[in-house]
Amino acid sequence: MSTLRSAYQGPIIDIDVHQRWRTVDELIDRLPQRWRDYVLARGGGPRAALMPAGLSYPFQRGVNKRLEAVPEDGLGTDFELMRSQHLDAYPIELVNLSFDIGHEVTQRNPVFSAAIARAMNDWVIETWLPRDTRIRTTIVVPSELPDEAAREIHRVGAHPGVTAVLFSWNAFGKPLGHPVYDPIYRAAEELALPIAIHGAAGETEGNMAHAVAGGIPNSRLEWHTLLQQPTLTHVASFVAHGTFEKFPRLKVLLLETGLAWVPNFLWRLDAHYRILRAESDWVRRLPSEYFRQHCKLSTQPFELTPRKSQLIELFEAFGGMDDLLCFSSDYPHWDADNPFFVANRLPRDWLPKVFRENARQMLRLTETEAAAV
Amino acid sequence: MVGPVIDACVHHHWNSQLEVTDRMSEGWREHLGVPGSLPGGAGAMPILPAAPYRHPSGDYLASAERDDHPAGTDPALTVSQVFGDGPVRRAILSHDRGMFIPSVPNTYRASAVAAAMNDWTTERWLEADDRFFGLVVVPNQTSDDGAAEIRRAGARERMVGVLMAANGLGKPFGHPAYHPIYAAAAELDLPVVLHAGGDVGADTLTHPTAGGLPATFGEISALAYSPMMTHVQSLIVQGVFEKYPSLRVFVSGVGAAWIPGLFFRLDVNWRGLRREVPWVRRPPSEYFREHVRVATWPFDRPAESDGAERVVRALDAFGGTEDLLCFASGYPHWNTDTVADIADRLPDSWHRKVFHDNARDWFRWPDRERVRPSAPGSEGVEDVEAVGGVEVGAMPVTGERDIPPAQRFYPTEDGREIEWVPAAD
Amino acid sequence: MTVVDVGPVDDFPDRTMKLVEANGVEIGVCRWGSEIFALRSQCPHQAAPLCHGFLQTALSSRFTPDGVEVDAHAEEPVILCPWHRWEFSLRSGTSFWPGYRARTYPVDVAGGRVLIQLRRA
Repeated sequence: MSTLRSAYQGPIIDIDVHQRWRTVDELIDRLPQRWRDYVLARGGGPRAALMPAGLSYPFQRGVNKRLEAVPEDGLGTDFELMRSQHLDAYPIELVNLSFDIGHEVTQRNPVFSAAIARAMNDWVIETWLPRDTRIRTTIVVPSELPDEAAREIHRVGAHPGVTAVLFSWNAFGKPLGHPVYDPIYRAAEELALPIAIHGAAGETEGNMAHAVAGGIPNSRLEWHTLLQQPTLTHVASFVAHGTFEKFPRLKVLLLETGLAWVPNFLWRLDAHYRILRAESDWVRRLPSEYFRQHCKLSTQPFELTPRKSQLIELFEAFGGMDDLLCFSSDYPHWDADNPFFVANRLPRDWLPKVFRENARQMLRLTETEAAAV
Repeated sequence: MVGPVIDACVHHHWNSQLEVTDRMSEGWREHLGVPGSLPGGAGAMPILPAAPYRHPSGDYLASAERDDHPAGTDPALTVSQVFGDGPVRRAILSHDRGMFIPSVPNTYRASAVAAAMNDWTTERWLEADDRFFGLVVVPNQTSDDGAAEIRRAGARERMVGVLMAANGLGKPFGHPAYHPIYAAAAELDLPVVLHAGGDVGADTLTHPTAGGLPATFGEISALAYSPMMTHVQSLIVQGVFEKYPSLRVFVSGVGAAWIPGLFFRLDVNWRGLRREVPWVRRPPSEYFREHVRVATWPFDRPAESDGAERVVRALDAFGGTEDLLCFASGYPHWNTDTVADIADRLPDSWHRKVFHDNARDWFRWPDRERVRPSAPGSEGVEDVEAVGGVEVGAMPVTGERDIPPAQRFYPTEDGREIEWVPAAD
Repeated sequence: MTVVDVGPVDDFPDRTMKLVEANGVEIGVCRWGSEIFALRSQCPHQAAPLCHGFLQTALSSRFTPDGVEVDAHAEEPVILCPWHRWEFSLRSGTSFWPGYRARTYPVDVAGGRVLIQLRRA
């Protein structure tokens, strides 16, 4: 149990928690024979890495986790550790799994990518969901084959434990409003699943687009600080391409980008409303109106200002942030936030929304599942 | 009414590229060709790369266009529209599409055109009015050439800064490849100006946005601050202000409301990741406050009726912003700001600093006392017991134990010994 | 003031963080050459188990005539938090950059035993 006192005592929905297999065998065993053979032949052994090339910002001593969340054998995400360090350490109602950002689907062979996405979804549904009634999960899709991605959403998206579609690879290197991706949004909307976009995940690992504007930075510090940049482009793109006009019930969940970028970004987009409208007839409302209706953000990594009031001042200059934020820890990663810490940095009357109500509006939580908790 | 005003960003361009290319050598003039030597006026190659995103209803103020002169190309009209009988006393000419020149693929042509541009600014524009001041365009693909051009054209006293312009090497501007440019700028006491759009040009290797290229001008323009965050952060984190402690930077064309968001994240991230860049001695925002000033243009405009107050509240959340901002009109761009409008949007107590004093302190005006370039070492040395100093870019030993060569083997469940390799899965 | 005996000096190998519990509080005890430091294992940032992190030496930077120099201080151990890797001095508890301070405790050695003084907060 955390030694912090919390300003919020109610149930917590944590919308971004990461899970990984102990060994890649768990995934390979769920591939069709043809792709098992391919993996084994390609890598020469069952431990063949599935991750394609991507940008490389390795962490100090190669550990991307909280140190005590590293299992004794160093392999994967340990559920028992997650339970004792996170699920039972705080009043957690639900956690929403989002893989280890899901970058294994960023394969150069799109058919292989689709096979891996199916295996990953089967793996999380078969192994993680049964472990605890508090666990829900996102699913991954092969975005390079949008129709196949839509089929995968229909195949597993109806499962009551599935909450969202994790867009883990920007396969065409296009801002995500590009109509090539529309079949994915159509399927997600049909199943009432939000799209989850994880900060720079689809660009860093897939490297079809740049993770940062203006040149690839030299350090992890710089790359990590700018994780929000692709998300900015994607949100602007949803507006300019009329994605929310085409799919009026589509929701978008922005994960792991921090929060302090929001006011400036939407002010700038709104200031370009007339231009956006001149170029694209289907931009019918202020960009910030689309944003407030369709998007929400995870709180992590929560910005820390010298004075607590500075961040809140910035939020209040924008207004309505209490309706946009959903708490996320990012457990077990190194920069994960303690929910009690976040609760203590936010205005008290925001807390029920940020820790629970906003997430319930966003994630697809079925009645039966919700009642079972 | 505000007092005297310095306009830190006015754009100037040529009516015909011959204004520039006629200042080049005979060999380059021959290489570029002679317009009119082929039918229809053809016969010369254009020196500018294409601009891939265009404002749907015109990139410039209609009032700045004349039948015989596109906006920003006639010194007399610019004089009347920027100065007129208003409060502006000095204006810094910051180029327009010309800023794409440093990234053209022919690096030698880029250097030659940049030098001609600097001569053109001096002869055609600075001579037209003594309230105009210039920026040295630096051909930054070959930073030694760039440094030489700074030393040549930057010796002119009415050149008050250096324009980094387009991103010629496709790297964030803190990259060591660009450092000779900063050494020369510091040596001549010239601030380095970063202007929005340096990553937009069709010839740059970088992208102007992360996550893919947008479809429309509205997107690219709203996102113009993305690469600027990358560059400002890069200058700080890659130690440019440690290597050149007197170097000053001016950021133009991206408004100001991005400042709190960037530094609220960067400062906290630095506490945990500083060992990756151990030469960053202080929170990044401190370098920013000391070494960077920011143009007000284009001033941020939330859609709400109290938008101006919201922006000031956001800037106040960061604090001290009145010491960082310098008024700029951006004339004759479509989003040109006027003195009167910006005066309405900012608290009265900020006016003197933002409209005049901050820029007066920042640029190398002829009547400003020159700052001698301070070598590293000019700031207070902490009293520390050093064990093996390491320069920027090197890594000191800081662990609890000796770090031997670390090849090692370990037993597997089936009794084999295997060598440890980094786990990719 | 409460003094807690956390064991013989020989139980504390050089340059190794050892965790002890005293009055229900987890404390990291670390011998560093001839000195012994004690630090509450709670990060002042987000309450992480601080002393489970990386033990390293302080790193500072300064200007010199040849450029900035980065100095490692072999006599100034720091702990890097196991969560966000913020760093705290074992000697003073202060974070690398001011603003946060971890709780430290005076340590005495008497009769070959390590004694930690727990004061009221």
